[in-house]
Amino acid sequence: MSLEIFWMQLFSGVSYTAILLLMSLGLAIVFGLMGVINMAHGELMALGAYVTFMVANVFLTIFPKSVDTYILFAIPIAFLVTFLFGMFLEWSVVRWFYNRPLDTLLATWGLSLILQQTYRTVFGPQEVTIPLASWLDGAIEPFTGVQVPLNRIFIIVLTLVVVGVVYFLFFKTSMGLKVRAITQNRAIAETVGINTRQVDMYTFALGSGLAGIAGSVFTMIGSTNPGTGQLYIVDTFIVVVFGGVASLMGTALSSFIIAQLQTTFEFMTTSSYAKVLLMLIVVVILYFRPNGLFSSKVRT
Amino acid sequence: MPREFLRQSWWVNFSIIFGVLLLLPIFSPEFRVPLYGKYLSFAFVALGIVLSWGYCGILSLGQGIFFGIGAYSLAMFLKLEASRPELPDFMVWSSVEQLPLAWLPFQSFSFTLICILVLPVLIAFPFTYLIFKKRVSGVYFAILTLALSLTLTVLIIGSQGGTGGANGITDFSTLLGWDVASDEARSRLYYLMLGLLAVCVTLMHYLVSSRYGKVLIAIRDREDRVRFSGYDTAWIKAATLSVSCVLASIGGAMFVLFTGLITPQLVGAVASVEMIVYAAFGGRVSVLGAVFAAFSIGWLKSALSEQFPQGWLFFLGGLFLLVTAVLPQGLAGLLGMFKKSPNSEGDS
Amino acid sequence: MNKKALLEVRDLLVSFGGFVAIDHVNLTVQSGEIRCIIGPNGAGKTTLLDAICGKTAAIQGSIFFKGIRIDNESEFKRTRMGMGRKFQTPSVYDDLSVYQNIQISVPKGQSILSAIFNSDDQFNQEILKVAQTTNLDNMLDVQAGTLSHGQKQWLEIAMLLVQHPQLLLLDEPVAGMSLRERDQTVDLIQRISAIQSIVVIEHDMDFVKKLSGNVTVLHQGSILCEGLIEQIQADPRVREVYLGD
Repeated sequence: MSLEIFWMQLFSGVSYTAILLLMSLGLAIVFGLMGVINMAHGELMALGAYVTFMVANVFLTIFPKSVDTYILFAIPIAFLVTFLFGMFLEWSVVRWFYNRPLDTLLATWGLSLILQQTYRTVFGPQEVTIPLASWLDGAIEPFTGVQVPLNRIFIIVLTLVVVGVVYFLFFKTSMGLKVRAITQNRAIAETVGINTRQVDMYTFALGSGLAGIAGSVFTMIGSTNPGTGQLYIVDTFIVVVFGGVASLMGTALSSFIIAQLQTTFEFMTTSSYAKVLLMLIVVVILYFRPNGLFSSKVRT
Repeated sequence: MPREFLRQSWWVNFSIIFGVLLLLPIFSPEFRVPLYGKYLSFAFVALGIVLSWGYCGILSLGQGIFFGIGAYSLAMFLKLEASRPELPDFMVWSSVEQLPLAWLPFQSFSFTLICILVLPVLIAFPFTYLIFKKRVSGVYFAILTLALSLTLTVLIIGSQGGTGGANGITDFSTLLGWDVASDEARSRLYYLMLGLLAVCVTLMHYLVSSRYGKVLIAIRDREDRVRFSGYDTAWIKAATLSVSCVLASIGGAMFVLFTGLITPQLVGAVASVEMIVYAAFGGRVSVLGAVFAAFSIGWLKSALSEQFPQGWLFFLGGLFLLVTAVLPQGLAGLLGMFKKSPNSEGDS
Repeated sequence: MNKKALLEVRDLLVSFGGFVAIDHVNLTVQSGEIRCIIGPNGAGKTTLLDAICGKTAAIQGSIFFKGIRIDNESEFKRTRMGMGRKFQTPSVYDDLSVYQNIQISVPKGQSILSAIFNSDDQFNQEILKVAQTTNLDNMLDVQAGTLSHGQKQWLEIAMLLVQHPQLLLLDEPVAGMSLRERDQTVDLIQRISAIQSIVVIEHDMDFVKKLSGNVTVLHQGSILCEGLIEQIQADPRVREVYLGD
C-alpha cells in the first residue's frame, strides 16, 4: 500500500474515530463512575445534532452575514443543552437504578425509544442537513498527492481540545478528584463529606454533554434523522466493553483501535463482513481479557 | 414430583389462561386468529427468557438471533416447497443462477426440524459456556449479544441473493402438502400451536418447581457461593440459555407459520430487546405471566398501530420504564399471583 | 512432601498488580487439626484462604490437598474434592428458606439432570441433622435473608457441613456475633472438628484461645510465627506487630 493511500485511509476514518471517541468517553465516564449503561446515549448525540441544526437555522435567518461562524456557537450550545438535559435525565430517571445495571440497561433503552419518537414527532422523520461553513470547505495538500480535507483537521483539533479539557477536569481539578474518589470507593467518599448525589448528576451531565459535542461533529459528515443515535450506540458500547472501564486512557485507545479496525476491514471487504470480522476479534479478546483489554486485576 | 409443581392455584390459572385462548377463535372473525397465533409465537420466546433471565439472571439481548434461526429455517423450507421446481422469486430477481449450497438441505423437512430444534444448542452452548467460564460480567454479556444480533442483521441484509435481504422471505403456500397460507388453515394450526404451548408451559413449570429452579435462583443471586457448593455454574448457565434459545427458535418457526413472512428486522437488536419486555411485563419469574404478556402486548401493538401509529414507540418505551422502575414483578406481581416472596418461587 | 498432611501450601506468591499480598508462604495443616490464622488487618489472611479455595489465582507456588496438586483446579472442583469455604460476609441465598439453602448444597444432586429429577425428600434426613448441629432446626422455613447475622453464619456453615468436607476454611466465623452466639459457635466448631479439619481466620483472641488449636500469625503477607496461643501471645514480635510497641 503506497504512502498516499495510507494517509487517505487514515484520514477517512478520522471523523468516525472522533465521534466514536467522544461518545465512548462520555459513556465510559458514566459507566465507570456509576455503573450505568445508558442506552439513550445515542439519542443524546442526536440531540446535539438537532441543536446544531437549529442554531444553524437561527444564524441563517437572523444573522445571515455571520452564518459561517455558526459552528463555533453551535458546539458549545449543543454541549450546554445536552449537559442540562443529561442532568434532568439523571435526576428524573437514572438515579433510581444505581446498583441495578441490567435494569438500567432496559430502562434507558425505553428512554431511547421515547426520545427517538419525540424527535420524530418534533422534527419529522425526514433527514435534515446543514450546509458546511465555507471556511471548512476544501483541503490542504501537505505532501503531493495527499489531500487532507479541512473539516477533518477541524474535527481532529476539536476532539483533541475536548479530550484535553476532560483530562484537565479529571486529573487537575478538585471536582475531578471527587469523581475519581467515588469511582474507587463510594461509601468512603461519602463519609469524607463528598456530595455523591451532586457529583453523580454533574458527571452524568458531562457524559451527556460529550455525546452532544459528538452530535455536533456528526452534522459535519452526515445528515441527521431520528434514528441517527442508533448508528453509533452499539459501536460505542463495544468500545467500552472492549477497553474495559479501567481508565479513560484505555477507553480512548480502545476507540481508536476499534475505529481503525472497522475502517480497515471496510476497505478490505464489504461493510457487512467488516462488522462480522470486528465482532470476531472483540469476542476473542474478551475471552482472554474478560474485563476488557486495558483492565487490571483487582481484589474483589 | 416437586411439591410446587402440583400447587393448585397454578393449575387454576393455567386452566383460565388456556381456556380463554382456546375459546377465543370462536368469538373472533377468522382473519384475527392468525394474529393471535402471531402473538403467541412470542410467548415461546418469553417462556425461554423467564427461565434464563428471570430465574438464572442471564440477560441476553440476542434472542432475536435464535428466533431468526427457527424462522429462517422454516421459511427456507416453505419457500422451496412453494417455488418448486423453480428458484425462489427473490433469487431470480437477484440474478442468482443456482440454488445456493446452504439451501440444498432445506428441501428435507427432517433437516429443517433439526435446524429449528438442535442448531440453537449447537451454536449457543459452546459459545456461552466458554464466555461464562471466563466470568464475563452480566452487562458485558448483554452488550455482546446485542452487538451479535445487530451483526447478524447486517449479514442477512447484505446477502440479498441468499436470504432475501432486507425484504426477507415470504409467499409460502403449503407445508408438506398441507395448506398454511389461508386464514382457515392458520385457524386450525392455532389449536395445534396452543397444544404445543401448553406442553412447553407445563414442562417449564416442572423445571422451575424442581430443585433445578432453586439452583438457578441461587446462581442469579450469588453465583460464587453456588460454585463453592460444588456446581459447575458455567455449564448450568450455558445449558439454561440453550434451552431458552431453542424456545426462541420454536417461536420463530411459529411466527413464520402464522404470518407467512420473516424479515431481518425481527432478528435484530430492537426486536431482541423487545422480547425481553414480554417476559418482564408478565413478571420475570412467572411462566404463565409470559404467555399472558406476550399475547396482550402483541394485541396492544396491533391496536395501537392501527389507531395511533406514532404512539407505539412511546408506549413501548414507557412499558420498559414501568417494568424496570415500578413493576419489577410485572403483571403477575400486581395481580397477586405470587404466594411467597416475589423473587423466589413465584411461579404461577 | 509430608504424606499425612491434609493441606500443604508451598512457597505461595499472590500479587495484585504489583502489590504482594502473599509473600512466599508455607503452610501445612494436618488431618484432624484446628488451625487459627491471625494477624493485623491487611496481613493477607483472607487472600490466603482465597488462594487455597480457588477464588484467587497464585502467581507462584503450589497447593496440595490430600496429596493432590490443586492450584490449577477451578473452585467447584476443589469443593467436590472436599474443601468448604465460608466467606467473611455471610454468603447465603437470601430469597430461599433455610431448608432450601441447605438443600441446594447437598452434593449428590449437582448435575443438571439430578437437580431436575431428584425428589424433594431424598436428602431430608441429612438436611435436618445438619440444621440441628448448627442450631437452626427450628428455623427451617424462615427466609434466609431475614436471619440475624450470626444465624446467617451458622447457615453458611450448615451449607458446608452437608457436603461432608474434609477441610473447612472459615473466615471470621464470629464477626458480628453476640457473646452468647460466640460461645455457641465455639461449641459448634469443636463438635464438627471431630470429623473435619478446620482453618479459622479470626480477630477475637478469646475465641482463638477457647478453640485451643495451633495458631499461625500472618503479617504483611508472610508468616511471622506459629505455635500455641500462649507462645504467640508471649512473642514480642507479635506484640510489636499488633500494638506497635
